[in-house]
Amino acid sequence: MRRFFGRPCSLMLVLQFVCSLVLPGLGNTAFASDDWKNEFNTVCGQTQNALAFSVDELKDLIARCDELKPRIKKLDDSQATERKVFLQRLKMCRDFYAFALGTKVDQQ
Amino acid sequence: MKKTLFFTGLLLLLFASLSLALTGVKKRRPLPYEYGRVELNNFSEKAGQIPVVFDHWLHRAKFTCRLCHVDIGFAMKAGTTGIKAADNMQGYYCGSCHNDKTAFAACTTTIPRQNSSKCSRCHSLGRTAVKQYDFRTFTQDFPKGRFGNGIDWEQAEATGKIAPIDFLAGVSIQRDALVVQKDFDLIAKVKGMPEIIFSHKKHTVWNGCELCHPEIFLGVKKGATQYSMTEIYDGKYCGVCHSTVAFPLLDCQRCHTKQVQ
Repeated sequence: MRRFFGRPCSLMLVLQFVCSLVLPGLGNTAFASDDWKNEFNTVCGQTQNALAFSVDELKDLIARCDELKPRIKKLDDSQATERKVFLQRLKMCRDFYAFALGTKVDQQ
Repeated sequence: MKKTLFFTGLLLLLFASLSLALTGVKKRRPLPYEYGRVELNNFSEKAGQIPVVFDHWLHRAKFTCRLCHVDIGFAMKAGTTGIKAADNMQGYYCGSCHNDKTAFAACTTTIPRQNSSKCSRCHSLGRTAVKQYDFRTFTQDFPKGRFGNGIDWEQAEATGKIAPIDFLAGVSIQRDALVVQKDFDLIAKVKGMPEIIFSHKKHTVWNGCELCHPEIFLGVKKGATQYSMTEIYDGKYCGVCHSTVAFPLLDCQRCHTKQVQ
């Protein structure tokens, strides 16, 4: 055992093997957790332009908000505060798009 | 006999009118530094702590309404957010800024209970807490207003006395600047009352869009939301902010500004 780990090359190989098993998983987890947040930032980062969007664009944004909601709801209890905060933020953003859509439809 | 009955009746009438007059509760008008103050006690006392006293005057001088009520997620009605110490420790709500970097740390586990001077900066209801900012000193050069905090916050920003931050790294979304919204008139219902010139620009700069629409104002089209002063005094529509934090409803001429023709 000592001989095996005593060689730098072998140690590197072992580390490489361990990393190849563990890191892709970690990477995916990080990506998955950032994924909904990126989508949230993209969707809800446009509210200031809402009244300039077309009916179809607004409908698309509302649909994307509706798709995001179950993904945020799925956050586990260790992320309960994050879930609560982002559900509230998502609600405000979705409601505003729905409001802008209602205004557009009324104008037509 | 008739005289006795008359005086007894008179006395009864006097007592009745006095007792009726005393049942009305006159609300004390808050002092300038108390205006906009919020007491938070969803969980404090249950956790053996004194309720939190939140000073709106200081926070509104440093941050826009939108930053706290949209990006950070504080509800518009006092006590409905339900903030726990754990939320702050994880960097949410008060902990978004009170993290020992932007401002002193809130509800950190590293503060022993015995060292209550740190906790009592916020958990201070009924106590004289030592605050970092004193209202009188902080606002001494600010343009004066007639009611509320006694500060004209709009002028305070226009003259550079305050520069409220609208972006918090790690919390806010990077977004394009809001298109400047046009001001518009609102016709008063009472004849002879000057019309209101609503500063949409000022309101959107501080509040963004989604803070007011659709939760407070359902319609964007002029006249879509019909409301009265009675409803506003009840804390609805303009009264959501203008009876709590922004200049109060007593200041009629701040809104009813258009000259009567």
